[in-house]
Amino acid sequence: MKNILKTIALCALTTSVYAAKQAQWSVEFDVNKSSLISTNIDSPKANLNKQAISYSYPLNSNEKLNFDTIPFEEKSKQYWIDSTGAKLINGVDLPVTGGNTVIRISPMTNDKSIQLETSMISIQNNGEDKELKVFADSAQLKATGAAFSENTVALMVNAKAGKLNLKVDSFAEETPFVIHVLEPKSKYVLSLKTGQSTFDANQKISVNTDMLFGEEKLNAELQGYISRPDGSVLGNLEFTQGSDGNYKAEIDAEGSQGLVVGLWEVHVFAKSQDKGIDIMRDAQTSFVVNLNTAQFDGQLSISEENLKVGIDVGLTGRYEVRGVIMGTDAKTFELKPIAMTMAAAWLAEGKQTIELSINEKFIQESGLVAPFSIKNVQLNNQTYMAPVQTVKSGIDLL
Amino acid sequence: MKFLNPIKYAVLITLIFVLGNASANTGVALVHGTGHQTNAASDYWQWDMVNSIRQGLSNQSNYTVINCNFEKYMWDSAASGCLATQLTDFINSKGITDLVIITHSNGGNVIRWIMSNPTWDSRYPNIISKIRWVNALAPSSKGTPLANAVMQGNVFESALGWLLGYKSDAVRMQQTSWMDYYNGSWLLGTAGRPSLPKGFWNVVGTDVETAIWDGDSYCGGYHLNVGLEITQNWLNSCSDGFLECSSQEGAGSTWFRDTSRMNGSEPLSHNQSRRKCFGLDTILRNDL
Repeated sequence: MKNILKTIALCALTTSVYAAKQAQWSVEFDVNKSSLISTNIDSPKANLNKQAISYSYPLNSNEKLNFDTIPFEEKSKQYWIDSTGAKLINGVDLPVTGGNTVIRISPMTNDKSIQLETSMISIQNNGEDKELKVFADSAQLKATGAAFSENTVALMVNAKAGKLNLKVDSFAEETPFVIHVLEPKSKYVLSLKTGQSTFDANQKISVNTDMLFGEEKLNAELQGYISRPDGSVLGNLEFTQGSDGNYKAEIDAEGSQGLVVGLWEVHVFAKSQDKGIDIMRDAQTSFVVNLNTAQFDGQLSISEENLKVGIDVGLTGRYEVRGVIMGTDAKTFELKPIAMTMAAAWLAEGKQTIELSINEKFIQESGLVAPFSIKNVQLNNQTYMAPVQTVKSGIDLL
Repeated sequence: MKFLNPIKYAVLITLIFVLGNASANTGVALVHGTGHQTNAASDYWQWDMVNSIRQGLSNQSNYTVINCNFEKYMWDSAASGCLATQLTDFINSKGITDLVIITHSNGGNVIRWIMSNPTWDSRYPNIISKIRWVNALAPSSKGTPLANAVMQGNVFESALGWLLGYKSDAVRMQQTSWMDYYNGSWLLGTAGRPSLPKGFWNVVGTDVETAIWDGDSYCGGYHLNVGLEITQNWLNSCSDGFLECSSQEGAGSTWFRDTSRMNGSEPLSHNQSRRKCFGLDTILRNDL
């Protein structure tokens, strides 16, 4: 409450501290209009709204912002295999590294009459019969809130490293099954991440993966592929092992797509051996590729409390520009946040502008002083729900 | 009032100061989680929860229970578009000037989409202007490894599972790597990102009572010990049986963790955090 009253008092006393007449991008652009996508892409559209909307709101100057985007790292202790009723009747070998092991059995059919029961399942571990520690049917699994399929069941056994032989009796031999194995406490982990969380359309997509035992990197046989948002396969990954033991692969980002139906994904399947045991792991992570249907053209102009941002539009659609207005702390000279500003409009192909609001009231109330800037300036295509361009260092207000 | 977080208290005092208490017409909206609801008051929240919460309103008819298709992605017109329609209708028909939104699970992501993307739809800025704050019950802000488990797998399962309609867009969206991307780009309010235009206050479920002899395990009609003994293997030790605490606390601010406020220091499982269990309804009622 004290702070609120203090702010109100400061507002009354403070005269205008913001009087920017000019704005300039903090970096020079390689503006190459010929690289823009200018024909309709084969991707669903999410937003055809033609109305221009501008919005801004104040941020607390104490907010700690970080504009770096770090790729997500998946750490997998699980794998999946395809099977059939016929194979399961004879018994399917599942490599395990020891300890509690969760096995999920999913018949891939809409036939809800296929409901597995404990009496139908038998498990041996390295040739010895094992008792099930836990068995949960699909109703019990779905009651947890997780979207398990209608007739999936799961069980848990405490296994020794080696092989589990899973045998399931009494159902149609032709029914396809997926067996999912999770080893929650295992030290064998498949790590997977992309080189960046967002790639440019003309960039190579880089993928890094490691089969780990604790900190130790193990040799592994790796297969993998990249899928586009619509599920189509971009291509298979060819991994090479570097001198540091990491496995890496690269592939060109071809086939521009929006993100209305999903993200780009990397799928990796690994097999390894250590201390005489087989290890299997699958991992999956996601990333995005900028959709170059437009670009900042480098032009800026300020009038009153608005900043016009120039954009070359290759493909007509709804575009948004957003960024964080920042000012300087007079005592520490740190750059601190003042406000979030964003604006969207329907833009036809060609030279266009979007007007961002720079609300002087927010600047005055922040107590921050010049130099001011707009950081992490993003251009998004709202029609295809895809990022187009980001300039983290942003715009200087002079 | 004693249950209010000090910051929430300051916001409320400021609102009273700015708007004038007499002029505020407070309403509450309950926003469900993943699923296609047509009668969420009965099926998702249950009426004893809804009726208890709305007792906190000076006009007890100023409430709405949202029914939308949250099997869809959060940006879909059937999800956030539907939510915007129902909130706008509620605001206009009741003349609401001060709106408290209570979400559960993935409902938190859908309202966060609206608050993070006001330029997407001309109705969004008006909705945001009316929101006092969002009370997010067990929000899936950073997704859940269980979404990974049911979505991922080999090519065969993904492809066939998709055709058979086992999985929804919303489940796909709540995979941890997917939410990591959305949080870093289209959504606001996570660590290092600009805050949301209005407060997003998390109620966090930290544990699950599964003792068969403990009647509290049954509150809300759930006794989940068998399924949870399986699903908890995908989650770390702090979870509500479906979401890890780090996901529930991944955006906005933590209002409270269950055991610090629930009667008998009971934890809230993921299903109990939308039901009249252990005094949760009273805390939400007193926050209006």
